Amino acid sequence: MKHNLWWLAGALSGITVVLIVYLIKRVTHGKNKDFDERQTAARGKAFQYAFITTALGELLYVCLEAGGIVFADSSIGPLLPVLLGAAVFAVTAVANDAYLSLRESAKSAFLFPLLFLALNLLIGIPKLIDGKVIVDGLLTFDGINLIIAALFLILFAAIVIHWFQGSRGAGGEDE
Amino acid sequence: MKNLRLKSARAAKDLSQEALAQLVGVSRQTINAIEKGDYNPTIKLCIAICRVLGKTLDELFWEEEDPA
Repeated sequence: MKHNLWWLAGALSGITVVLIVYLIKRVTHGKNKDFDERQTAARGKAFQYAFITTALGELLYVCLEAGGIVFADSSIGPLLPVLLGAAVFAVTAVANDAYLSLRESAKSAFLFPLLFLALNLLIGIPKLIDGKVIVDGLLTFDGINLIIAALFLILFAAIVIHWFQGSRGAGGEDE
Repeated sequence: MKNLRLKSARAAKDLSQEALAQLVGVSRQTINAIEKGDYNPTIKLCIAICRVLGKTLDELFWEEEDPA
C-alpha cells in the first residue's frame, strides 16, 4: 500500500512538472509556431510509424506471453513497445530534419540526449550491479533507467549520424 | 523535379537558403527540400517565398506541360 502511494506521488509529480513546463512554454512562446509545415508533416509520418511499431510490439508481447515466453515482469514488459515506438518517432524525426523546432539550437540537440543518457546510466548501473535489473531471469522495473538510457543512446547516435551526413553535403546548402 | 527557378531567384537576391528560410519562417532544410524537389510546399508558403523574392507564383512554381 505504502509502495503504491509512493508510486502515485511520483506519477503525480511527473505530470505536474510536465504541465508546468507546458504552461510556461505556452506563456513565453504564445502561439508562435514551433515547426514549419514540412516538419509538421514529417513528424506526423513519424508518429504514424511510432504508433504502428507500438501496436505491433504490444501484439507481439501479448502473443509471446500467451505462448509462455516471458522475459520481463508485468510492470515493465508492456512498456517496452511504447519505448520502442518513442525511439522510432525520434529517429524518424531526426532523419527528416523534424526533430528540432525552428527555435531550438543544434547545441540542444546534442546536449539533452547526452544529459538524459548520463543521468539514466548513473541511476541504472548501480541497480544492475546490485542485481536488481534481472531477477529470476525476468527483466524488472529497476531496468527502466538502462532501457531509457539505451533509447537516448539511439537518439544521440541518430543525431550524430545525421549531422555527419549533413556536414558531408547531404541536405546541405546549394546541392 | 528540382526547382532551379527558385534557386536562381534566390541567388539573384543574394540570399542563402538560411536567409530565405528565416524571411519566410521555415527551416533551411525546408527551402533545400523545395529546391531539390523533395517537398511540395503549401500555397501559403509559395506565396511567402514569392513575396520575398519579388516573383509571381507562375515564375517560380508553375511547371509547363511537356508539349510532346
